[in-house]
Amino acid sequence: MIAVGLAFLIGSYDLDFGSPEQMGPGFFPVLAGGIVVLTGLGILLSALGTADIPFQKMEWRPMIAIIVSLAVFTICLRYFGLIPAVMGCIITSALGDRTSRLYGVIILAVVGSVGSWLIFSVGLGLTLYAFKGTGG
Amino acid sequence: MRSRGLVGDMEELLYGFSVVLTLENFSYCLLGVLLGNLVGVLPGIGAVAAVSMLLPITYYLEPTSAVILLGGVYYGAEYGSSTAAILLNLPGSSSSAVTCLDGYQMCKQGRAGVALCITALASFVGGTLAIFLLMFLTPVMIKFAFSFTSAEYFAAILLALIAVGSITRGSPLKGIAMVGIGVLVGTIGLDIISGTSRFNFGIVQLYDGINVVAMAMGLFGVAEVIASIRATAGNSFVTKVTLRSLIPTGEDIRRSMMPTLRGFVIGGATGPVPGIGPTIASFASYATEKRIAKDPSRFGNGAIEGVAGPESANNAAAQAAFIPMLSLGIPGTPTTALILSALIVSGIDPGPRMMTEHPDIFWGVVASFWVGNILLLILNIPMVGLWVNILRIPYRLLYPLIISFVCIGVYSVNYSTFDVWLVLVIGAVGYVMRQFDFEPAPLLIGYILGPLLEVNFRRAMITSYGDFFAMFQRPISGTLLAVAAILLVVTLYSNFRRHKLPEKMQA
Repeated sequence: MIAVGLAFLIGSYDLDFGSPEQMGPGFFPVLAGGIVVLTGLGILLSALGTADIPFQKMEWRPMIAIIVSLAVFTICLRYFGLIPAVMGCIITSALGDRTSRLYGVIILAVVGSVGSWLIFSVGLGLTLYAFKGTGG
Repeated sequence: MRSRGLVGDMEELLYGFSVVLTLENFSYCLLGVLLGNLVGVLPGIGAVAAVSMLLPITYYLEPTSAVILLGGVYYGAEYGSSTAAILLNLPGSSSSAVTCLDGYQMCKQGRAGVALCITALASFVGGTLAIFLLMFLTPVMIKFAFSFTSAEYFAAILLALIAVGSITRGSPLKGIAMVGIGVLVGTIGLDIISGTSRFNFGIVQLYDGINVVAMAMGLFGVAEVIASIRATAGNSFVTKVTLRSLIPTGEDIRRSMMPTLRGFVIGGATGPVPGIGPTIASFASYATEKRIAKDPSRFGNGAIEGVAGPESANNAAAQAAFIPMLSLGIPGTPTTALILSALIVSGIDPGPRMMTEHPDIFWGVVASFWVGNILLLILNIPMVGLWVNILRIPYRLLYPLIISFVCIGVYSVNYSTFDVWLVLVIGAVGYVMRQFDFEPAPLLIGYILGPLLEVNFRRAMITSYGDFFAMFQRPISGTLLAVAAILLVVTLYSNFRRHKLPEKMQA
């Protein structure tokens, strides 16, 4: 059933996508979009035919932790600089695993952030600021 | 063109060695195979993720060094991935999934060392034989490719895409849908021919399209990490691997010889075909060995043939996958697709002219494969203890670092936080897709090949004055299109007829 929902999603998503702008640049995407809609329908049909759903259990905790950690990285990098960003990223992503321990995570965050500053900023010469004033 | 015989090839190869054996390129080769071996050993991060992480760095390198480095990661990972399969019953990457079957049994019987040693040897033999294939087949393909016009390219790319979509682990219909979505995502950004911007949803950052690095990292880095956190929790092992335990008996070697050679044949034959990567080659080899064995019941109980064959096959396939990429500029696996995009970024036009215009790239890369394979042999036999110890590091300490490197890597391509947000979205979508058995590899390949497909399609249409059927009248493009159509029909037919779920494999 969930697979059916997803198939619908793909179908409609791409119908939207496939709408042409002009004959020139729009032609190819419409063609490809049409094919995707067709296969989407095909998946829908074969999903209707079977009772079984090829669905593996979603792991919400790791997924949310990782996604939030990426967001934390982006926001921190913008306002505070590389070292806080990596620290925040490591700490939030570590929450995704229930077996993580507090001290281990803190040590990892410190080593990881300083290490990545050394590798990327000092070693490879990328313009990444270790720390940054707000609004910089 | 010069006529090239064996002697000519050897001269070129020597020239290639002179390119690799500079300190700089040798270090990149060493770095590449080291990193590749490392990510191969570690479950939950594969060659695709590693190559995409390194992509931003390679933008600053010479194209030859870039391919040497990225190629090293690719085949290095094939060597490394069997280590975790043997010791933990957990494949470092999917191409070693089949090595678990007998490799882990051997480990349980206290023969882990022998399994590791035979794996390294078989990988070496399979890999190096495939380099010969690469050396001799690529020039032939190139000669063939010189007669290609955009119609033939369109047909070849279309065939590659259909093959990639049909030959996946899951349902071929889903595979083709993924390719289609990849192609669609690839149309985001500037239209190359008319210069208009498409599907940018009013977002300025999308005018140039979605960054390759963001795409690959999201699909293979982030999504893979999310999926691995739970899968790897609480894995540990106590096996000790001493140097002495590595030494195989004469019996072991005799038993492994033929499977290794057959593995090479299978890997070498399947590797250049788009869509059939090392994974399928290894499964095919295992099935072959089991079928021709005198006593098939030994398989699954620590049969050394079941380790040697697939490992030789997946390394041979990994090397042979470079043939279409270096000759036609059409990659068949996600990793070679990424390497191709690295070449495009450095201004090289990958295709038949590359070998004559940039012989340093082609022969340098071929020679680097030799060097890399020898380095890997050293890394995996005398220094295997290093990898065994790395496996003892729990994943919970590794994945936060991996995620941080992904973030920094993506950000550093354009110094744009927007790209990191993209990775976030793509990673989340990629993970959900994975759980629904939608494979990410066809999507990535569709995304990379899509724009090439479109350009060649439209060029072909322009030259034939909009006559679609002109393509079928040219002999090569006609044949390729016919093969593509047959493949498509056969795949769809079997898909609807079977109507059964694909065998559940342990991921």
